[in-house]
Amino acid sequence: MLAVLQELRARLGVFESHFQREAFPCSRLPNGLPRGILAEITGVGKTESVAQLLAENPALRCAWIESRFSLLPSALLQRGVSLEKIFFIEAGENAAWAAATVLRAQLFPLVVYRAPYGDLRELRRFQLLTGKGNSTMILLGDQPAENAWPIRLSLEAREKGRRLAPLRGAR
Amino acid sequence: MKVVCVLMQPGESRGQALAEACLAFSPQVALGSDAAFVEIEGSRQLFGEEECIRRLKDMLELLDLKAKIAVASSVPAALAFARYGVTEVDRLPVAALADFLAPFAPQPFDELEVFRKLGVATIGDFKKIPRVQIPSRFGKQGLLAYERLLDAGRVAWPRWAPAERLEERVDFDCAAQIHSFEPVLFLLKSAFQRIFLRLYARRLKLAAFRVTFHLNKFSAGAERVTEISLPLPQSELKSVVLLTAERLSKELENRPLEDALEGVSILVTDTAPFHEAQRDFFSKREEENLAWASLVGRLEERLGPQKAFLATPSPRLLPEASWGKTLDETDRGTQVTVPLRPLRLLEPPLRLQRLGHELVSAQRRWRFTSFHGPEKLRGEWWLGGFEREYFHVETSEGETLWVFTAPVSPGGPRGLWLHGMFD
Repeated sequence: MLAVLQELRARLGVFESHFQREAFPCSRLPNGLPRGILAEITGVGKTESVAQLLAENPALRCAWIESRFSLLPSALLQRGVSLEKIFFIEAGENAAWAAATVLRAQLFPLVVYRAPYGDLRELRRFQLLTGKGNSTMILLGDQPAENAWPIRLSLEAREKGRRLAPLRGAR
Repeated sequence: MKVVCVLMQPGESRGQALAEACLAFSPQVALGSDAAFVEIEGSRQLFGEEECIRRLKDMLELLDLKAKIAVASSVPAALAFARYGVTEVDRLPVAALADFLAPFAPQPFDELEVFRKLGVATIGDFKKIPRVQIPSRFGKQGLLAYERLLDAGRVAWPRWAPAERLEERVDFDCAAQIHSFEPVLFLLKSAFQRIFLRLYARRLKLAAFRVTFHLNKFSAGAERVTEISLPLPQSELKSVVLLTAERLSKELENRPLEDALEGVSILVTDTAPFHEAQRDFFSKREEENLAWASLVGRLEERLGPQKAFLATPSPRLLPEASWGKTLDETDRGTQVTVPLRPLRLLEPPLRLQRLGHELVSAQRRWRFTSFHGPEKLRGEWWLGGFEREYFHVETSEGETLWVFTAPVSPGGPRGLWLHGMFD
Protein backbone atom coordinates (compact mmCIF):
# COMPACT_ATOMS: atom_id res chain seq x y z
CA MET A 1 0.00 0.00 0.00
CA LEU A 2 2.79 2.37 1.01
CA ALA A 3 4.72 1.53 -2.12
CA VAL A 4 1.66 2.30 -4.25
CA LEU A 5 1.20 5.62 -2.46
CA GLN A 6 4.86 6.48 -2.97
CA GLU A 7 4.62 5.62 -6.63
CA LEU A 8 1.51 7.74 -7.02
CA ARG A 9 3.18 10.63 -5.25
CA ALA A 10 6.23 10.28 -7.42
CA ARG A 11 4.06 10.29 -10.56
CA LEU A 12 2.02 13.26 -9.45
CA GLY A 13 5.10 15.11 -8.21
CA VAL A 14 3.30 15.97 -4.97
CA PHE A 15 6.39 16.40 -2.86
CA GLU A 16 8.58 17.61 -5.60
CA SER A 17 9.87 21.09 -4.94
CA HIS A 18 11.10 23.21 -7.78
CA PHE A 19 14.66 22.69 -6.59
CA GLN A 20 14.43 19.07 -7.66
CA ARG A 21 13.15 20.05 -11.06
CA GLU A 22 15.21 20.37 -14.15
CA ALA A 23 16.51 23.94 -14.32
CA PHE A 24 18.02 26.38 -16.78
CA PRO A 25 21.52 27.31 -15.61
CA CYS A 26 21.72 30.95 -14.57
CA SER A 27 24.74 32.57 -12.93
CA ARG A 28 22.44 34.90 -11.02
CA LEU A 29 20.51 32.06 -9.39
CA PRO A 30 22.56 29.43 -7.56
CA ASN A 31 20.09 26.62 -8.37
CA GLY A 32 19.26 27.90 -11.82
CA LEU A 33 15.76 28.76 -13.02
CA PRO A 34 13.46 25.75 -12.58
CA ARG A 35 11.50 24.44 -15.54
CA GLY A 36 7.74 24.13 -15.57
CA ILE A 37 6.98 27.03 -13.23
CA LEU A 38 5.63 30.54 -13.27
CA ALA A 39 8.29 33.01 -12.10
CA GLU A 40 8.21 36.74 -11.63
CA ILE A 41 11.05 39.24 -11.88
CA THR A 42 10.58 42.82 -10.75
CA GLY A 43 12.82 45.81 -10.11
CA VAL A 44 15.29 47.80 -12.15
CA GLY A 45 17.43 45.44 -14.23
CA LYS A 46 14.80 42.73 -14.78
CA THR A 47 15.16 42.78 -18.56
CA GLU A 48 18.96 42.73 -18.23
CA SER A 49 18.74 39.64 -16.03
CA VAL A 50 16.52 37.83 -18.58
CA ALA A 51 18.98 38.80 -21.33
CA GLN A 52 21.77 37.33 -19.21
CA LEU A 53 19.78 34.09 -18.77
CA LEU A 54 19.27 33.85 -22.53
CA ALA A 55 22.93 34.58 -23.23
CA GLU A 56 23.93 31.78 -20.85
CA ASN A 57 21.54 29.35 -22.59
CA PRO A 58 22.19 29.99 -26.28
CA ALA A 59 20.24 26.94 -27.47
CA LEU A 60 17.12 27.91 -25.52
CA ARG A 61 14.11 28.84 -27.65
CA CYS A 62 12.16 31.65 -26.13
CA ALA A 63 8.91 33.46 -26.88
CA TRP A 64 8.95 37.09 -25.74
CA ILE A 65 5.48 38.56 -25.41
CA GLU A 66 4.90 42.25 -24.79
CA SER A 67 1.65 44.16 -24.77
CA ARG A 68 3.40 47.21 -26.23
CA PHE A 69 6.68 46.27 -27.83
CA SER A 70 9.49 48.44 -26.45
CA LEU A 71 12.35 45.98 -26.54
CA LEU A 72 15.42 46.73 -28.66
CA PRO A 73 16.41 43.36 -30.20
CA SER A 74 19.78 44.67 -31.43
CA ALA A 75 20.62 45.42 -27.78
CA LEU A 76 19.87 41.78 -26.93
CA LEU A 77 22.35 40.79 -29.60
CA GLN A 78 24.98 43.04 -27.98
CA ARG A 79 24.50 41.04 -24.78
CA GLY A 80 25.25 37.74 -26.53
CA VAL A 81 21.66 36.56 -27.10
CA SER A 82 21.01 34.53 -30.29
CA LEU A 83 18.18 36.45 -31.92
CA GLU A 84 17.15 33.54 -34.14
CA LYS A 85 16.03 31.68 -31.01
CA ILE A 86 13.73 34.44 -29.79
CA PHE A 87 10.20 34.76 -31.13
CA PHE A 88 8.77 38.20 -30.40
CA ILE A 89 5.08 38.91 -30.11
CA GLU A 90 3.51 42.32 -29.80
CA ALA A 91 0.15 41.32 -28.49
CA GLY A 92 -1.56 44.54 -27.37
CA GLU A 93 -4.67 43.70 -25.36
CA ASN A 94 -4.43 40.04 -26.37
CA ALA A 95 -1.23 39.37 -24.42
CA ALA A 96 -2.80 36.77 -22.14
CA TRP A 97 -4.38 34.96 -25.10
CA ALA A 98 -1.05 35.06 -26.98
CA ALA A 99 0.80 33.67 -23.95
CA ALA A 100 -1.70 30.83 -23.55
CA THR A 101 -1.50 30.04 -27.28
CA VAL A 102 2.30 29.98 -27.19
CA LEU A 103 2.37 27.80 -24.08
CA ARG A 104 -0.12 25.40 -25.63
CA ALA A 105 2.05 25.05 -28.73
CA GLN A 106 4.83 23.68 -26.45
CA LEU A 107 7.50 24.97 -28.80
CA PHE A 108 9.27 27.26 -26.35
CA PRO A 109 10.81 26.09 -23.09
CA LEU A 110 10.91 29.72 -21.95
CA VAL A 111 8.22 32.37 -22.29
CA VAL A 112 8.87 35.95 -21.21
CA TYR A 113 5.74 37.99 -20.58
CA ARG A 114 5.66 41.73 -20.14
CA ALA A 115 2.08 42.86 -19.87
CA PRO A 116 -0.20 43.62 -16.94
CA TYR A 117 -0.80 40.48 -14.87
CA GLY A 118 -2.32 39.72 -11.51
CA ASP A 119 -5.67 38.18 -12.36
CA LEU A 120 -5.61 34.93 -10.41
CA ARG A 121 -7.60 32.95 -12.95
CA GLU A 122 -5.24 34.00 -15.70
CA LEU A 123 -2.18 33.17 -13.60
CA ARG A 124 -3.64 29.80 -12.71
CA ARG A 125 -4.12 29.09 -16.42
CA PHE A 126 -0.49 30.01 -17.08
CA GLN A 127 0.61 27.82 -14.20
CA LEU A 128 -1.26 24.81 -15.55
CA LEU A 129 0.06 25.34 -19.05
CA THR A 130 3.67 25.76 -17.91
CA GLY A 131 3.38 22.61 -15.83
CA LYS A 132 1.90 20.67 -18.73
CA GLY A 133 4.52 21.79 -21.25
CA ASN A 134 7.42 21.83 -18.77
CA SER A 135 8.13 25.37 -19.86
CA THR A 136 9.01 28.30 -17.65
CA MET A 137 7.15 31.57 -17.88
CA ILE A 138 8.83 34.70 -16.60
CA LEU A 139 6.52 37.59 -15.79
CA LEU A 140 8.23 40.97 -15.91
CA GLY A 141 6.58 43.53 -13.65
CA ASP A 142 7.32 46.77 -11.86
CA GLN A 143 6.03 45.56 -8.47
CA PRO A 144 5.64 42.01 -7.11
CA ALA A 145 2.06 40.79 -7.53
CA GLU A 146 0.19 40.43 -4.25
CA ASN A 147 -1.54 37.17 -3.26
CA ALA A 148 -0.56 35.66 -6.60
CA TRP A 149 -0.10 32.11 -5.35
CA PRO A 150 0.33 30.52 -8.80
CA ILE A 151 3.62 32.41 -9.10
CA ARG A 152 6.08 29.87 -7.77
CA LEU A 153 9.16 32.06 -7.68
CA SER A 154 9.34 35.80 -7.17
CA LEU A 155 12.66 37.51 -7.76
CA GLU A 156 13.79 41.08 -7.57
CA ALA A 157 16.54 42.41 -9.80
CA ARG A 158 19.11 44.38 -7.87
CA GLU A 159 22.28 46.22 -8.81
CA LYS A 160 20.86 46.85 -12.28
CA GLY A 161 20.20 43.20 -12.90
CA ARG A 162 23.59 41.94 -11.76
CA ARG A 163 21.92 40.14 -8.87
CA LEU A 164 18.57 38.44 -8.47
CA ALA A 165 17.22 38.47 -4.93
CA PRO A 166 14.50 35.96 -4.10
CA LEU A 167 11.38 37.48 -2.56
CA ARG A 168 9.29 34.32 -2.42
CA GLY A 169 9.56 30.67 -3.30
CA ALA A 170 13.36 30.29 -3.40
CA ARG A 171 15.59 28.55 -0.88
CA MET B 1 4.22 -4.01 -64.05
CA LYS B 2 1.57 -3.65 -61.39
CA VAL B 3 -1.34 -1.36 -62.20
CA VAL B 4 -4.10 -0.20 -59.91
CA CYS B 5 -7.30 0.87 -61.64
CA VAL B 6 -9.83 3.08 -59.85
CA LEU B 7 -13.02 2.87 -61.88
CA MET B 8 -15.44 5.72 -61.19
CA GLN B 9 -19.18 5.62 -61.61
CA PRO B 10 -20.51 6.57 -65.06
CA GLY B 11 -20.80 10.33 -65.52
CA GLU B 12 -18.44 11.17 -62.65
CA SER B 13 -16.71 14.48 -63.40
CA ARG B 14 -14.13 14.54 -60.62
CA GLY B 15 -11.58 12.33 -62.33
CA GLN B 16 -9.01 15.11 -62.30
CA ALA B 17 -9.13 15.38 -58.50
CA LEU B 18 -8.92 11.60 -58.20
CA ALA B 19 -5.90 11.39 -60.50
CA GLU B 20 -4.17 14.20 -58.62
CA ALA B 21 -4.72 12.45 -55.31
CA CYS B 22 -3.31 9.25 -56.87
CA LEU B 23 0.02 11.04 -57.35
CA ALA B 24 0.59 10.26 -53.68
CA PHE B 25 1.30 6.64 -54.70
CA SER B 26 3.34 7.00 -57.85
CA PRO B 27 4.35 9.63 -60.39
CA GLN B 28 3.04 7.36 -63.18
CA VAL B 29 -0.64 8.18 -63.25
CA ALA B 30 -3.03 8.23 -66.19
CA LEU B 31 -6.59 9.37 -66.45
CA GLY B 32 -9.01 7.52 -68.70
CA SER B 33 -12.55 8.48 -69.60
CA ASP B 34 -13.97 6.75 -66.53
CA ALA B 35 -10.97 5.49 -64.57
CA ALA B 36 -7.65 6.53 -63.09
CA PHE B 37 -4.61 4.24 -63.36
CA VAL B 38 -1.57 4.13 -61.10
CA GLU B 39 1.55 2.11 -61.72
CA ILE B 40 2.70 0.85 -58.30
CA GLU B 41 5.41 -1.64 -59.19
CA GLY B 42 8.12 0.96 -58.50
CA SER B 43 6.60 1.91 -55.15
CA ARG B 44 6.31 -1.57 -53.71
CA GLN B 45 9.21 -0.90 -51.34
CA LEU B 46 7.06 1.79 -49.73
CA PHE B 47 3.72 0.00 -49.59
CA GLY B 48 2.27 -3.26 -50.75
CA GLU B 49 -0.79 -3.92 -52.85
CA GLU B 50 -3.15 -4.28 -49.88
CA GLU B 51 -1.84 -1.14 -48.20
CA CYS B 52 -2.27 0.76 -51.45
CA ILE B 53 -5.88 -0.39 -51.81
CA ARG B 54 -6.62 0.48 -48.18
CA ARG B 55 -5.23 3.98 -48.63
CA LEU B 56 -7.09 4.43 -51.90
CA LYS B 57 -10.35 3.51 -50.19
CA ASP B 58 -9.69 6.15 -47.48
CA MET B 59 -8.90 8.65 -50.19
CA LEU B 60 -12.12 7.90 -52.07
CA GLU B 61 -14.07 8.40 -48.89
CA LEU B 62 -12.46 11.81 -48.35
CA LEU B 63 -13.19 12.79 -51.94
CA ASP B 64 -16.73 11.49 -51.56
CA LEU B 65 -16.35 9.31 -54.65
CA LYS B 66 -17.74 5.86 -55.25
CA ALA B 67 -15.40 3.67 -57.27
CA LYS B 68 -14.24 0.10 -57.83
CA ILE B 69 -10.59 -0.78 -57.36
CA ALA B 70 -8.65 -3.60 -58.99
CA VAL B 71 -5.00 -4.55 -59.41
CA ALA B 72 -3.53 -6.36 -62.43
CA SER B 73 -0.34 -6.66 -64.42
CA SER B 74 -1.61 -4.46 -67.26
CA VAL B 75 -3.83 -1.42 -67.72
CA PRO B 76 -6.63 -3.19 -69.71
CA ALA B 77 -6.72 -6.14 -67.33
CA ALA B 78 -6.92 -3.83 -64.28
CA LEU B 79 -9.76 -1.90 -65.91
CA ALA B 80 -11.65 -5.06 -66.86
CA PHE B 81 -11.14 -6.60 -63.40
CA ALA B 82 -12.52 -3.44 -61.79
CA ARG B 83 -15.47 -3.29 -64.19
CA TYR B 84 -16.52 -6.95 -64.00
CA GLY B 85 -15.32 -7.84 -60.51
CA VAL B 86 -13.27 -10.91 -61.54
CA THR B 87 -9.59 -11.56 -60.98
CA GLU B 88 -8.69 -13.82 -63.92
CA VAL B 89 -8.48 -12.71 -67.54
CA ASP B 90 -9.95 -15.98 -68.85
CA ARG B 91 -13.08 -15.57 -66.75
CA LEU B 92 -13.81 -12.08 -68.03
CA PRO B 93 -16.89 -11.76 -70.29
CA VAL B 94 -16.11 -11.12 -73.97
CA ALA B 95 -17.54 -7.60 -73.57
CA ALA B 96 -14.31 -6.86 -71.69
CA LEU B 97 -12.49 -6.94 -75.04
CA ALA B 98 -13.59 -3.31 -75.40
CA ASP B 99 -11.36 -2.47 -72.44
CA PHE B 100 -8.45 -4.27 -74.09
CA LEU B 101 -8.94 -2.44 -77.37
CA ALA B 102 -8.86 1.09 -75.91
CA PRO B 103 -8.43 1.04 -72.14
CA PHE B 104 -8.16 4.82 -71.72
CA ALA B 105 -11.30 5.56 -73.79
CA PRO B 106 -13.28 2.29 -74.13
CA GLN B 107 -15.78 2.06 -77.02
CA PRO B 108 -18.57 -0.54 -77.26
CA PHE B 109 -17.39 -3.74 -78.96
CA ASP B 110 -19.31 -4.31 -82.23
CA GLU B 111 -18.91 -8.07 -82.53
CA LEU B 112 -20.71 -9.08 -79.32
CA GLU B 113 -23.68 -10.48 -81.23
CA VAL B 114 -21.39 -12.76 -83.27
CA PHE B 115 -19.77 -14.01 -80.05
CA ARG B 116 -23.18 -14.73 -78.55
CA LYS B 117 -24.25 -16.72 -81.64
CA LEU B 118 -21.04 -18.75 -81.54
CA GLY B 119 -21.47 -19.44 -77.85
CA VAL B 120 -18.30 -17.54 -76.88
CA ALA B 121 -19.11 -16.14 -73.42
CA THR B 122 -15.73 -15.49 -71.83
CA ILE B 123 -12.30 -14.35 -72.90
CA GLY B 124 -11.10 -17.83 -72.05
CA ASP B 125 -13.46 -19.18 -74.74
CA PHE B 126 -12.25 -16.53 -77.18
CA LYS B 127 -8.61 -17.47 -76.64
CA LYS B 128 -9.42 -21.09 -77.58
CA ILE B 129 -10.37 -20.03 -81.15
CA PRO B 130 -7.42 -20.60 -83.52
CA ARG B 131 -5.80 -17.33 -84.49
CA VAL B 132 -6.15 -17.91 -88.26
CA GLN B 133 -9.95 -18.06 -87.93
CA ILE B 134 -10.28 -14.77 -86.06
CA PRO B 135 -10.11 -12.28 -89.00
CA SER B 136 -12.65 -14.23 -91.05
CA ARG B 137 -15.04 -14.63 -88.11
CA PHE B 138 -14.69 -11.31 -86.25
CA GLY B 139 -13.04 -8.92 -88.71
CA LYS B 140 -10.15 -6.56 -88.04
CA GLN B 141 -11.54 -5.41 -84.68
CA GLY B 142 -11.57 -9.00 -83.47
CA LEU B 143 -7.99 -9.55 -84.59
CA LEU B 144 -6.85 -6.33 -82.91
CA ALA B 145 -8.60 -7.37 -79.70
CA TYR B 146 -6.90 -10.75 -79.86
CA GLU B 147 -3.47 -9.16 -80.33
CA ARG B 148 -4.07 -6.72 -77.46
CA LEU B 149 -5.19 -9.58 -75.27
CA LEU B 150 -1.91 -11.39 -75.83
CA ASP B 151 0.25 -8.30 -75.49
CA ALA B 152 -1.78 -6.15 -73.08
CA GLY B 153 1.29 -4.89 -71.18
CA ARG B 154 2.41 -2.79 -74.13
CA VAL B 155 -0.34 -0.21 -74.00
CA ALA B 156 1.08 3.30 -74.23
CA TRP B 157 0.16 5.55 -71.27
CA PRO B 158 -1.34 8.86 -72.39
CA ARG B 159 0.25 12.01 -71.00
CA TRP B 160 -1.57 13.44 -68.05
CA ALA B 161 -0.68 16.54 -66.02
CA PRO B 162 -2.43 17.88 -62.93
CA ALA B 163 -4.77 20.82 -63.49
CA GLU B 164 -3.42 24.33 -62.91
CA ARG B 165 -6.53 25.32 -60.98
CA LEU B 166 -6.96 23.61 -57.66
CA GLU B 167 -10.50 24.09 -56.46
CA GLU B 168 -12.92 22.10 -54.34
CA ARG B 169 -16.56 22.82 -53.75
CA VAL B 170 -18.83 21.27 -51.16
CA ASP B 171 -22.58 21.89 -51.21
CA PHE B 172 -25.39 21.45 -48.76
CA ASP B 173 -28.10 19.03 -49.86
CA CYS B 174 -30.35 22.06 -50.21
CA ALA B 175 -29.65 25.77 -49.67
CA ALA B 176 -29.89 26.68 -45.99
CA GLN B 177 -30.06 29.88 -43.96
CA ILE B 178 -26.98 30.10 -41.76
CA HIS B 179 -27.46 31.28 -38.20
CA SER B 180 -24.31 29.81 -36.66
CA PHE B 181 -20.85 29.02 -37.94
CA GLU B 182 -21.01 25.27 -37.19
CA PRO B 183 -22.55 24.13 -40.52
CA VAL B 184 -20.10 26.30 -42.47
CA LEU B 185 -17.21 24.77 -40.56
CA PHE B 186 -18.52 21.34 -41.49
CA LEU B 187 -18.45 22.24 -45.20
CA LEU B 188 -15.09 23.97 -44.92
CA LYS B 189 -13.50 21.00 -43.23
CA SER B 190 -14.47 18.55 -45.94
CA ALA B 191 -13.42 20.98 -48.68
CA PHE B 192 -10.03 21.46 -46.98
CA GLN B 193 -9.59 17.71 -46.57
CA ARG B 194 -9.87 17.32 -50.34
CA ILE B 195 -7.63 20.28 -51.02
CA PHE B 196 -4.92 18.94 -48.71
CA LEU B 197 -5.22 15.48 -50.22
CA ARG B 198 -4.49 16.94 -53.65
CA LEU B 199 -1.78 19.28 -52.38
CA TYR B 200 -0.04 16.48 -50.50
CA ALA B 201 -0.04 14.31 -53.62
CA ARG B 202 1.51 17.16 -55.60
CA ARG B 203 4.07 17.82 -52.85
CA LEU B 204 2.81 21.34 -52.27
CA LYS B 205 2.00 23.40 -49.22
CA LEU B 206 -0.88 25.83 -49.01
CA ALA B 207 0.20 29.48 -49.01
CA ALA B 208 -2.93 31.41 -50.00
CA PHE B 209 -6.49 30.59 -50.92
CA ARG B 210 -9.88 32.06 -51.69
CA VAL B 211 -13.02 30.96 -49.87
CA THR B 212 -16.27 31.57 -51.75
CA PHE B 213 -19.69 31.30 -50.17
CA HIS B 214 -22.17 30.36 -52.88
CA LEU B 215 -25.50 31.86 -51.95
CA ASN B 216 -28.90 31.00 -53.33
CA LYS B 217 -28.58 31.53 -57.08
CA PHE B 218 -31.57 33.88 -57.11
CA SER B 219 -29.87 36.13 -54.57
CA ALA B 220 -28.66 39.57 -55.71
CA GLY B 221 -25.07 39.02 -54.59
CA ALA B 222 -24.78 35.35 -55.40
CA GLU B 223 -21.24 35.00 -53.99
CA ARG B 224 -19.20 36.22 -51.04
CA VAL B 225 -15.44 35.93 -51.49
CA THR B 226 -12.72 36.04 -48.81
CA GLU B 227 -9.03 35.94 -49.62
CA ILE B 228 -6.74 34.41 -47.01
CA SER B 229 -2.98 34.51 -47.17
CA LEU B 230 -1.01 32.44 -44.69
CA PRO B 231 2.12 34.02 -43.18
CA LEU B 232 3.94 30.68 -43.55
CA PRO B 233 2.91 27.95 -46.02
CA GLN B 234 1.17 25.10 -44.24
CA SER B 235 0.64 21.42 -44.84
CA GLU B 236 -1.52 20.64 -41.83
CA LEU B 237 -5.28 20.55 -42.17
CA LYS B 238 -6.14 21.24 -38.56
CA SER B 239 -4.31 24.52 -38.20
CA VAL B 240 -5.58 25.92 -41.51
CA VAL B 241 -9.18 25.00 -40.67
CA LEU B 242 -8.78 26.63 -37.25
CA LEU B 243 -7.32 29.77 -38.72
CA THR B 244 -9.95 30.01 -41.48
CA ALA B 245 -12.74 29.38 -39.01
CA GLU B 246 -11.43 32.17 -36.79
CA ARG B 247 -11.34 34.64 -39.69
CA LEU B 248 -14.66 33.66 -41.27
CA SER B 249 -16.64 33.42 -38.05
CA LYS B 250 -15.55 36.97 -37.24
CA GLU B 251 -16.53 38.13 -40.72
CA LEU B 252 -19.90 36.41 -40.67
CA GLU B 253 -20.59 37.82 -37.24
CA ASN B 254 -19.97 41.34 -38.50
CA ARG B 255 -21.69 40.81 -41.83
CA PRO B 256 -24.10 37.85 -41.92
CA LEU B 257 -24.86 36.16 -45.23
CA GLU B 258 -27.66 37.92 -47.09
CA ASP B 259 -29.32 34.74 -48.33
CA ALA B 260 -29.44 30.97 -47.99
CA LEU B 261 -26.08 29.23 -48.44
CA GLU B 262 -25.79 26.58 -51.14
CA GLY B 263 -22.19 25.63 -50.66
CA VAL B 264 -18.60 26.66 -50.07
CA SER B 265 -15.68 26.42 -52.45
CA ILE B 266 -11.98 26.83 -51.86
CA LEU B 267 -9.63 27.87 -54.63
CA VAL B 268 -5.90 27.61 -54.01
CA THR B 269 -4.25 30.82 -55.20
CA ASP B 270 -0.69 30.25 -54.03
CA THR B 271 1.40 27.26 -53.02
CA ALA B 272 4.94 26.50 -51.88
CA PRO B 273 7.02 23.35 -52.50
CA PHE B 274 6.80 20.70 -49.85
CA HIS B 275 9.95 18.60 -49.63
CA GLU B 276 8.70 15.69 -47.66
CA ALA B 277 11.09 12.99 -46.63
CA GLN B 278 10.73 9.79 -44.67
CA ARG B 279 9.75 10.60 -41.11
CA ASP B 280 12.74 10.87 -38.80
CA PHE B 281 11.75 9.09 -35.62
CA PHE B 282 14.69 10.55 -33.72
CA SER B 283 14.00 14.19 -34.50
CA LYS B 284 10.96 16.35 -33.79
CA ARG B 285 12.02 18.95 -36.34
CA GLU B 286 9.20 18.22 -38.80
CA GLU B 287 6.50 18.37 -36.13
CA GLU B 288 8.04 21.55 -34.76
CA ASN B 289 8.00 23.18 -38.19
CA LEU B 290 4.34 22.32 -38.60
CA ALA B 291 3.51 23.62 -35.13
CA TRP B 292 5.57 26.76 -35.78
CA ALA B 293 3.73 27.56 -39.03
CA SER B 294 0.42 26.96 -37.32
CA LEU B 295 1.33 29.15 -34.33
CA VAL B 296 2.50 32.05 -36.50
CA GLY B 297 -0.67 31.78 -38.58
CA ARG B 298 -2.94 31.91 -35.56
CA LEU B 299 -1.06 34.78 -33.93
CA GLU B 300 -1.06 36.88 -37.10
CA GLU B 301 -4.72 36.18 -37.67
CA ARG B 302 -5.62 37.49 -34.23
CA LEU B 303 -2.99 40.19 -33.68
CA GLY B 304 -2.47 41.44 -37.22
CA PRO B 305 0.39 41.26 -39.70
CA GLN B 306 3.98 41.53 -38.43
CA LYS B 307 2.96 41.30 -34.78
CA ALA B 308 4.67 37.94 -34.35
CA PHE B 309 8.19 37.90 -35.71
CA LEU B 310 11.85 37.07 -35.39
CA ALA B 311 14.24 40.01 -35.20
CA THR B 312 17.29 40.53 -37.33
CA PRO B 313 19.95 43.25 -36.97
CA SER B 314 20.15 45.98 -39.61
CA PRO B 315 23.35 47.86 -40.46
CA ARG B 316 22.00 51.28 -39.43
CA LEU B 317 23.16 53.66 -36.71
CA LEU B 318 19.76 55.07 -35.92
CA PRO B 319 18.82 53.01 -32.82
CA GLU B 320 15.15 52.53 -33.73
CA ALA B 321 16.17 51.34 -37.22
CA SER B 322 18.89 48.98 -36.01
CA TRP B 323 16.71 45.90 -36.38
CA GLY B 324 14.04 44.49 -38.65
CA LYS B 325 11.27 41.91 -38.55
CA THR B 326 11.43 38.59 -40.34
CA LEU B 327 10.01 35.08 -40.18
CA ASP B 328 13.02 33.49 -41.83
CA GLU B 329 15.10 31.65 -39.23
CA THR B 330 18.14 31.67 -41.49
CA ASP B 331 18.15 35.46 -41.91
CA ARG B 332 21.04 36.58 -39.69
CA GLY B 333 21.11 40.24 -40.86
CA THR B 334 24.15 42.50 -40.48
CA GLN B 335 25.27 43.80 -37.14
CA VAL B 336 27.21 47.05 -36.67
CA THR B 337 29.53 47.62 -33.73
CA VAL B 338 28.21 50.41 -31.52
CA PRO B 339 28.44 51.17 -27.79
CA LEU B 340 26.05 49.28 -25.52
CA ARG B 341 22.42 50.12 -26.19
CA PRO B 342 19.56 49.97 -23.64
CA LEU B 343 17.18 47.02 -23.78
CA ARG B 344 14.14 49.27 -23.68
CA LEU B 345 13.57 51.85 -26.39
CA LEU B 346 10.74 54.34 -26.39
CA GLU B 347 9.03 54.82 -29.71
CA PRO B 348 8.51 57.71 -30.20
CA PRO B 349 11.07 59.29 -27.84
CA LEU B 350 9.62 61.14 -24.86
CA ARG B 351 10.18 64.91 -24.73
CA LEU B 352 11.96 65.99 -21.51
CA GLN B 353 12.60 69.28 -19.79
CA ARG B 354 15.59 69.80 -17.55
CA LEU B 355 14.73 71.66 -14.38
CA GLY B 356 17.81 71.90 -12.15
CA HIS B 357 18.72 68.35 -11.16
CA GLU B 358 15.50 66.94 -12.46
CA LEU B 359 14.33 65.65 -15.81
CA VAL B 360 10.64 66.16 -16.26
CA SER B 361 8.26 64.60 -18.75
CA ALA B 362 4.49 64.99 -19.00
CA GLN B 363 3.99 61.87 -16.84
CA ARG B 364 7.01 61.53 -14.60
CA ARG B 365 10.03 63.24 -13.13
CA TRP B 366 13.49 61.80 -12.42
CA ARG B 367 16.12 63.27 -10.14
CA PHE B 368 19.44 62.62 -11.83
CA THR B 369 22.82 62.15 -10.19
CA SER B 370 25.11 62.09 -13.22
CA PHE B 371 25.29 62.48 -17.01
CA HIS B 372 27.77 60.38 -19.03
CA GLY B 373 28.52 61.07 -22.67
CA PRO B 374 27.98 62.21 -25.23
CA GLU B 375 27.92 59.60 -27.97
CA LYS B 376 27.47 61.56 -31.15
CA LEU B 377 25.38 59.96 -33.90
CA ARG B 378 24.77 61.55 -37.25
CA GLY B 379 24.18 60.33 -40.77
CA GLU B 380 21.63 59.00 -43.23
CA TRP B 381 21.56 62.32 -45.10
CA TRP B 382 20.02 60.43 -48.01
CA LEU B 383 16.96 59.79 -45.84
CA GLY B 384 16.70 63.32 -44.48
CA GLY B 385 19.54 62.93 -41.96
CA PHE B 386 19.74 63.01 -38.18
CA GLU B 387 22.11 64.40 -35.59
CA ARG B 388 21.87 63.29 -31.99
CA GLU B 389 24.02 63.34 -28.86
CA TYR B 390 23.25 60.49 -26.51
CA PHE B 391 23.88 60.47 -22.74
CA HIS B 392 23.61 57.85 -20.02
CA VAL B 393 21.82 59.45 -17.11
CA GLU B 394 21.95 57.91 -13.63
CA THR B 395 18.94 58.66 -11.45
CA SER B 396 18.61 58.72 -7.69
CA GLU B 397 16.29 55.67 -7.92
CA GLY B 398 19.06 53.59 -9.48
CA GLU B 399 17.76 53.71 -13.04
CA THR B 400 19.91 54.43 -16.07
CA LEU B 401 18.15 56.49 -18.70
CA TRP B 402 19.28 56.91 -22.29
CA VAL B 403 18.57 60.46 -23.38
CA PHE B 404 19.57 62.45 -26.40
CA THR B 405 19.72 66.04 -27.47
CA ALA B 406 18.90 67.10 -31.01
CA PRO B 407 17.76 70.26 -32.77
CA VAL B 408 14.04 70.75 -32.25
CA SER B 409 13.83 72.09 -35.81
CA PRO B 410 16.51 72.41 -38.52
CA GLY B 411 19.00 75.02 -37.30
CA GLY B 412 16.87 75.63 -34.17
CA PRO B 413 17.70 75.19 -30.44
CA ARG B 414 18.44 71.71 -29.09
CA GLY B 415 15.83 69.77 -27.17
CA LEU B 416 16.09 66.80 -24.80
CA TRP B 417 14.39 63.42 -25.31
CA LEU B 418 14.24 60.20 -23.35
CA HIS B 419 14.90 57.39 -25.82
CA GLY B 420 15.40 54.33 -23.70
CA MET B 421 16.09 52.69 -20.38
CA PHE B 422 18.63 50.16 -19.18
CA ASP B 423 15.99 48.03 -17.53
